[in-house]
Amino acid sequence: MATVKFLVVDDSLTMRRIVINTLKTIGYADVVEAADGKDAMAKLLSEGADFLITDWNMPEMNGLELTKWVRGNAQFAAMPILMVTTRGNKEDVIEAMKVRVNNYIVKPFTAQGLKEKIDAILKAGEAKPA
Amino acid sequence: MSVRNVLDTLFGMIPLLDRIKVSIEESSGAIPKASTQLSSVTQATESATVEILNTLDRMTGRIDAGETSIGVLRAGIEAGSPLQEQIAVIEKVLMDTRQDSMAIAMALQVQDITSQQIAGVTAMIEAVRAQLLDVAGQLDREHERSTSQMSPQPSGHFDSNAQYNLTGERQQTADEIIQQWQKVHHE
Repeated sequence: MATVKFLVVDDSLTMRRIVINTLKTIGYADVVEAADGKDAMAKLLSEGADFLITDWNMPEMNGLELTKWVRGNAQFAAMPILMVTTRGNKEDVIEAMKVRVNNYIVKPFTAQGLKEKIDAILKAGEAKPA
Repeated sequence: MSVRNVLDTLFGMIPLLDRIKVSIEESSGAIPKASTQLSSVTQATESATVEILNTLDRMTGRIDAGETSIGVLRAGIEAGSPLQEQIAVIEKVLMDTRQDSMAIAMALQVQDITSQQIAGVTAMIEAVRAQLLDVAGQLDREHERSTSQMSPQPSGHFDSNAQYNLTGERQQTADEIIQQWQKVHHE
């Protein structure tokens, strides 16, 4: 079992369950979850994580704002970030890349699609396992 | 037209304006109930989806247990025994069931996508309500208070353009943009 610790952020309980189940299926059992950006900030500060998977549209603090916060925080700035969102327009993808997400998945995704993105990011050596 | 005729026409419009005002009040009054009902739909589908995911988790646990037992059986049976073939059949059944279980779980993403669409519709009808109340406020100054007392509508935490599209086209578009972006920014 890989030792990468994931933080899964989504305001939808359904999506958190699906992402977490998929991560477990593909070999990642160490997962923390958060319901929005503010919750994610608190979880990062209290529990830490090696890899962030975040939704875009969320109450309190959205995925873009969370990404900006992570990139601006010296402790987490290098953390791989995968955005998983329903937003599939060209402008949306560019906006996400501008705030420096590592990759982008449009919902609904497949287990294989999620695995490929995670593998590619980890292979690029951007993850720092705990 | 004489002044008398103009005044008669204006006085005749008063009951009509009253009826329009009442109609607007009734229409705008029904919208919060519609919003609540839409919210109930989202909550109900989320509860049902979580129940399905719980069931799938239990199924996966049973498949894990079955595969473990089959592994023990296989180890205890001589190679070339006809039972090995039967064990292979059972293993395939378990593997196919696991894949079907996974496919059901992935399809449940539709719940999140439809809930965002519903949130978009709710925001839209609430905007219509605000406009109706604004019109009513022009007919009756009392309504200005109710308009100003409206709770702010949630915005930005849903994607009203969310789609349950399994073609992969949108992901392909995103991948192409990311590749171009990375090429430009890594050069």
